[in-house]
Amino acid sequence: MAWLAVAVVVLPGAALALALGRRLDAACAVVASVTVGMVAMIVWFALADLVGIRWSATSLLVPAVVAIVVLSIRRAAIVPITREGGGWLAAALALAVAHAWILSRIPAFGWDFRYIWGLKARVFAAAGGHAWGWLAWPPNTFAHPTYPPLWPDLLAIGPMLGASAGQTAAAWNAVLVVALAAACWTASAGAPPPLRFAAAIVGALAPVIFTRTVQHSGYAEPLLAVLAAAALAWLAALGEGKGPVAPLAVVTVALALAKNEGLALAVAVAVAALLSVRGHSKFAVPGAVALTAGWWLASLAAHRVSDQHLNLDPIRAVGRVAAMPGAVASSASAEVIVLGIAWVAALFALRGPALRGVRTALTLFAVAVIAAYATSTDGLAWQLGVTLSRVLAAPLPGVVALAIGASWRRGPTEQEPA
Amino acid sequence: MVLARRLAAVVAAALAIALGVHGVATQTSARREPTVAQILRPLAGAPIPGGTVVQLLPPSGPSDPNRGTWLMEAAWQRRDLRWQLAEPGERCVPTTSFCVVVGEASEASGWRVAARLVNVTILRRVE
Repeated sequence: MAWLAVAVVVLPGAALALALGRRLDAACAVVASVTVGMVAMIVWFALADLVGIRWSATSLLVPAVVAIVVLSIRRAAIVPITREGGGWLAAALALAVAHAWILSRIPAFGWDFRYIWGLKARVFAAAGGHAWGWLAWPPNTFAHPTYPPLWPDLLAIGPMLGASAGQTAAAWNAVLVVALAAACWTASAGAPPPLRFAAAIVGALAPVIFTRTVQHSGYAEPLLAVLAAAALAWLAALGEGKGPVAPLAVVTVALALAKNEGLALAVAVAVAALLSVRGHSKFAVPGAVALTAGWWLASLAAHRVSDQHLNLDPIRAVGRVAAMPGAVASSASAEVIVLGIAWVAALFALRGPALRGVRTALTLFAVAVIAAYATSTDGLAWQLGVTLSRVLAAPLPGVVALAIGASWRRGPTEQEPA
Repeated sequence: MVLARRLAAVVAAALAIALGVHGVATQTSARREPTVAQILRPLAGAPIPGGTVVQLLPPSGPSDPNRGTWLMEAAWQRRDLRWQLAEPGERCVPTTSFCVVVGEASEASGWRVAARLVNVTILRRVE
């Protein structure tokens, strides 16, 4: 039943992507199926909440029905999936599938899964909606009720169909690791196939976020990693004047609802798109993010759901920012050090005018992350110790893949003299 | 410069892959459950109607930094209830109809024992 919970999202997503897409290679098709399916389901959940329809096993079929209708209307517009990538892509996806098989075998059991993501999923499934009363109950602030809801919403589908939230998280992790490999392949466009294979392997074996320990199992970072890689890849493509804005708008809707870091990155990508896209379509991504974030924040305000994990005292925040380098140095594990070096190396490779938007987005994202640490009520050293590796690891596969693509792809201003 | 960028990209990829392989190779395959889960599991069958506000009196003192874990686990076991930790002072106060005491508890003023389960006692306020 856990796989069925994933299928009711991904299959309608695949149908919608085929019907509405312009040109898809196999890697793009995988990423589009997952992201479009997630957006279709969360839009349906939001509408059901608004009009008072209870989420149920039957109502989960609504996105599938919509997909069938769209597919039948646009049957003539369906484009075949191209065979770009060939054996290298197939080999990378095969390795990702092997990792997926390992991930799918053990239900999620991490602390934050049990007391945040999985708990909310079970509550939402039982309530048949976002359970605003439960979220607004003050003692439940431990479950971070204001966190964007995409991950618990996806996990809630499992219990609605008879699977546990832990089994559903394991099945989703299996799909997400394959999607991340595909997103990294897409992000490395321009590099020779063996290097794109390496980029996809970075996704298939993404460090930290898929680790099955109580500090990681069932957390939302794999979801964030896939959406971040897809968003940055499409933002880079827009910087080169390739492709329409619509796919990026769709991805940022999902990204804005995947953790607070996802919301921060979605806003950063929206600002970058606003600065780098020309014409009226420049407003598509900021509009999508504003609508999505606006819906979630307005829903929280309407139901008096608040979080007590922020302290906005500016003097205290400045003090925490000043203390951050020392706290990072004292709490950094070997894992964080390696991640940090990988980030520095990848950022060094992210040059060129086409990637100005990506660099803008990553800079704004870094500012948002520092602001989050500065205003948190948790102890700085403790918080950095338990979160910094995840914060660094989630966007890293997409950034590394972009770095590979960017350093082999040559723009007109970067040609070496003959 | 082009060569340096390519080298940097390859180094970044190699480090990420190495860390990923290390993670796959060293992660545990054993599923672990917190100790509080084993203690509070009987709550799943506790005779308390859904939607009820329930006080939880953990065995640890009010200064215990892990006190919140008891609340979180109670919410996991019975997500249909509105849990709150008992006020510091280590006794059930008459603000709710039910109070769950972790461990043995005897009837106190204003409360009667509604059920004794393994590890937990359910107290119901006397109307």
